[in-house]
Order: sequence, then C-alpha cells, then structure tokens
Amino acid sequence: MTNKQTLVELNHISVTAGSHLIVDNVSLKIKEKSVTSLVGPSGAGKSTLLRVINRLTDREDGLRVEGQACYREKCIYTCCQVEDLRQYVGMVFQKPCVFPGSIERNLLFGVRHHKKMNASEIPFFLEKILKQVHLWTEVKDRLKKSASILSMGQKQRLCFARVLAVNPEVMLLDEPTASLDPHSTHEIESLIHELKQEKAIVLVTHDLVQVRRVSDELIFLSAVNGTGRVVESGTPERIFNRPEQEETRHYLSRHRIEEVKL
Amino acid sequence: MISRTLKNQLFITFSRLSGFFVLALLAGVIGVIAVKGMGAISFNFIFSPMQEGGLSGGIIFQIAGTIILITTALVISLPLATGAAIVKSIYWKDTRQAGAYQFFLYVLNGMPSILLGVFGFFFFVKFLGWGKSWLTGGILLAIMILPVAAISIAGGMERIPREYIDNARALGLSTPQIIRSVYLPQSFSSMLSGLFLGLARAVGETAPIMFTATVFAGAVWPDGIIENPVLSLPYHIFNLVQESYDPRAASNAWGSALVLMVFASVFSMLTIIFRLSAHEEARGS
Ligand SMILES: Nc1ncnc2c1ncn2[C@@H]1O[C@H](COP(=O)(O)OP(=O)(O)OP(=O)(O)O)[C@@H](O)[C@H]1O
Ligand SMILES: [Mg+2]
Repeated sequence: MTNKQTLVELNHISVTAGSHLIVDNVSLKIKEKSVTSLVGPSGAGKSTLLRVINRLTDREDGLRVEGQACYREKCIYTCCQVEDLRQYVGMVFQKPCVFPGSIERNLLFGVRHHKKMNASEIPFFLEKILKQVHLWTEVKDRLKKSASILSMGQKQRLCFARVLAVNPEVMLLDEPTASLDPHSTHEIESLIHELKQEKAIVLVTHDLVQVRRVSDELIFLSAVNGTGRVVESGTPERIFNRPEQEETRHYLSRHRIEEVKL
Repeated sequence: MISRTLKNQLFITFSRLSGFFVLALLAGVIGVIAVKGMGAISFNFIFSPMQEGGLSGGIIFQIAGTIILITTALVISLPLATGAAIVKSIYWKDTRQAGAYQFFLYVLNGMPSILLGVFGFFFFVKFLGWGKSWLTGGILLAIMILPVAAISIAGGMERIPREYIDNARALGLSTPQIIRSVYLPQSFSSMLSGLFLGLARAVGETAPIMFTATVFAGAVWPDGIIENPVLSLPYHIFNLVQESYDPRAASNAWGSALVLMVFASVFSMLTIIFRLSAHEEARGS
C-alpha cells in the first residue's frame, strides 16, 4: 500500500471566491492504482477540489486558488501546458453530457486533438475503448448514429470512454453515478474497479455504500459556514468503524452507517 | 377612483386594440403593396432590363444588384460578427469589457443609416477614390448587419450550457479548439437568424448606398471595384416614386416594392425559423 507512487498532491490548498472561503487549507495525496474518495456534506468544496486538480478553476471569474498543487511532483501550473495536464488528468461529471453528433464523434472528441490517427486505425481504436467500458456490443452497429438516443447509463459510459480515449493517468469522477439507476451504477462501479488496476481515481460521492464498495482511501471533508476542510482521512473500514472525529461520527450517523459498517 | 376591475378591463381592451392596430397596419401595408404590385409583375418585368428610364421594361439588374450588395454584406459580416461574438462572450466572458462591448454594439445598431452613407461617401468614394462601387455598398450594409448579428450570435453562445464547455475543457481542448467544436456548431442557428434579421433590414436600405454604391441607370454587371456601381431595388423605387405622376412609373414602383418586400419577408421568415431551432441547438438536441 505505502509503496504506491503519489501522482497528485495538494499542499495547503485554499480556494476563495470574493470574500467567501470555499476550501480552507486542504492537503491530500492521490496514489496510483487506487481509488480515493472525497466524502462530505454538500458545499464542502469537493467539486471545487477536483476542478483545482485539472485546473478547470483557471478561468473561472473571481476564484482564487492558493497553495501548492503537484502532478508527479511538479507544480500543475508550471509543469506543462494546461491542455496537457488535462490529458494526464481526465474528468467525468455528474450529469452525462454527450455532444451533438454521432457516438463516434463523441468518442474522438478529445483524442483527435491530441493524437494523430490514420483513418484505418480508428475502427480498432473505437472498438478497444468501447470494450473497455462494456459498451461495444450495445453500440457497435450504430457508431455513426446520434449519441443522444443512448440511455443515461450508456451515455455515462460513453463519457468514460471519451475520457479513456485520451488515456489519462488520473481520473477525477464527480458523482459519476448520481444521476443513474442502480443497474447502471453497478456497471460504473465495476468499471471503476477495472480502471484502478492502472489508474489513479478520485471519486466524489454521497453514496457511502459505494465508498465501501470501491474505494481504498477515504478523505472526509466538513462544511462549516460554507468552508470545506479535511476532517480526517484513512481507509474506509477504519473511518466507518472507528471515526476519530466527532464531525465524521455525526455525518455517518445521519447516513445510515449500519449498512456500510463491516 | 376607478375600481381595479375597471382598470384591468381598460388595460386589456387597450392592449387588444393596440395589438389589432399593429396587425391591421401590417396587413394594410402588405396588402396594398401586394395588390398594387401584382399588377406590374410579370415574367418580363422580373427578367428583363429596364427601358425608358424605368417607365417600361423590367428590373432584372436591380434584382441582381441588390443580390450582389446583400451577398457581399453577408460574406463580410459573417466572419466579423462571429469574431465580435467570440470576443464578447468567450474571451471577455463576465468581464466589464463585455458589457462595454454590448453597449457599443447597441450604439452601432442605433446609428442612423444616413450617417453610414455619409461616412462611406467621404471615406470610400472620396478618400480611397473608389467612386461608386458595389463593394462600398456591401461593406456599409455589412456594418449595418454587424451589431444585430453579433448580438444574436453572442446570445447563442451564452446559451450553451456550461457542461459542454466544462467537458470540452476537461478533455484537454484549447479555447480555439472549443470554439471550433462547441461554440460555433452549437450557435450556428443563432448565427443564421442574426444574419437574416440584419439582412431583412439591410436589403431595403437606401441611405447607405445611394451616394456610395448604386445608380439609377447605366450599370449592368460589375467588372471591378473602382467606379463599379450596381442598380438596386430600393434606389430604383426611390427614383420611380419621384416620377410617379406618370402612371407607368407608379406601377413599376409598386412592382419593384413587391419584389423588395418578398426579399425582406423571406429573410424575416428565415430569421424566425433559425431562431426557433437556435434554442434547441444550444442544448445540443
Ligand atoms: N465559481 C464559483 N464562484 C463562487 N462560488 C463558487 C464557485 N464555485 C463553487 N462555489 C461555491 O463553493 C462552495 C462549494 O461548492 P462545491 O460545488 O465545490 O461543493 P460540493 O462539495 O461539490 O457540493 P455538492 O456535494 O453539492 O456537489 C459552494 O458554496 C459554491 O457556491
Ligand atoms: Mg459537487
């Protein structure tokens, strides 16, 4: 466990919007080949933290990010172009968002800007990434058809495939199953399980059962007066069974902890 | 003291009357032009050149000239309006400059068209020495279309839900790449509706082109830029109406007016069609 390499490290990160302190002094590490979950009440700045990691906060008006954020031990602001950083650090959002146009267009939406591909390679490439997200058999006959006709669960897997096409090392998942039915949720969870064999995954979720099922590390954040802080972190087993902080205990007690205890 | 219900009643009655009045006015104008114009319209009128200073013959070169002017205006204003919208709603998004820019576009939109004509006359005709030229007319009409089109395109871009932009950014696309693969395709209908709205107005404008681009007689197809005016429908009507003590001139003026009205109506209809689809397009459906 401890010999896994740290891919992303946040040191004393604070985010402010005007006079509102959104995230206060957060430090955390994201390790390769593991799933790190960020859990906490709404407004704890979980999405904001994800957006800091791939610099989506960059051009947002009025947001100021302070502290140090590193990818592979280099500052994310100086290591590389922001577009390159986002190829290494991909992101999937809560609401599946497919672009107008075909399934194929969606799959190539990001990668075609980053990698030269011959027309002859494309079919193999599409098959490979669609198989990776278990969508191949469902869509193989309609790659040229509009992606908007897919179900929510299929759309979300398409979004995963679109990010995987760019082949990131880190994947930021912001409540990826929040708008899905239980079956699709299950499929996404098994996908996360497979992906962690080779990638670092940061998962934001409100579903503690899901945390229990998929994550290796849990970082619990609180939101006091609209400011997010890290309360405690550790393995999910440890935190669910023996929370050290009162805030964690309080949060867990309100979220039907019984189901998630070992 | 008037009771509230009476006030409401009065208000409703007044609104209905105003609505009816506007409709009646529109129907009246269109009706008169249609009825009077139909009398002059024939295959020959549309497809032959004018004779006897417009008293007989047709308006083929006026139609051609008008098409040349508005096509030029379209070609020039499309990239400019798109560029202006990109600057305003993407690069200057949520900044004070964007507000100032919006204000500037409204001012430009409200500028009396005769001032454009005066500017065009002194700058292009005199200073650049182009004389009367179709290109000057196209440029001036493009300036007229520009603010309406830019505001419409910017509106379309601002309606695109943030998720699309976030997803595209998160996939590592640069801003120019996002412009090409999200902003432009997903505001295409707003682009067309804005351009046609501008064209519907520009097609009938006389003031910007009368000293700069168009003549009453003696022009056919342009074969260069300098000293190459075109004939045009609005200017033709302008002149024929002045001669309209002669019933033949009056009749041809009505006929030309009807043709011009058809142009403007087609552009207005296209505006509405594209405006309706613009709202769906932003959402990507
Ligand atoms: N660009 C911004 N400008 C101003 N305030 C912002 C901005 N982005 C986020 N915030 C504020 O930061 C706080 C945290 O938001 P964030 O979306 O990160 O919370 P979250 O933990 O993801 O919540 P949820 O669980 O509801 O998704 C909220 O109060 C939000 O209003
Ligand atoms: Mg969130």
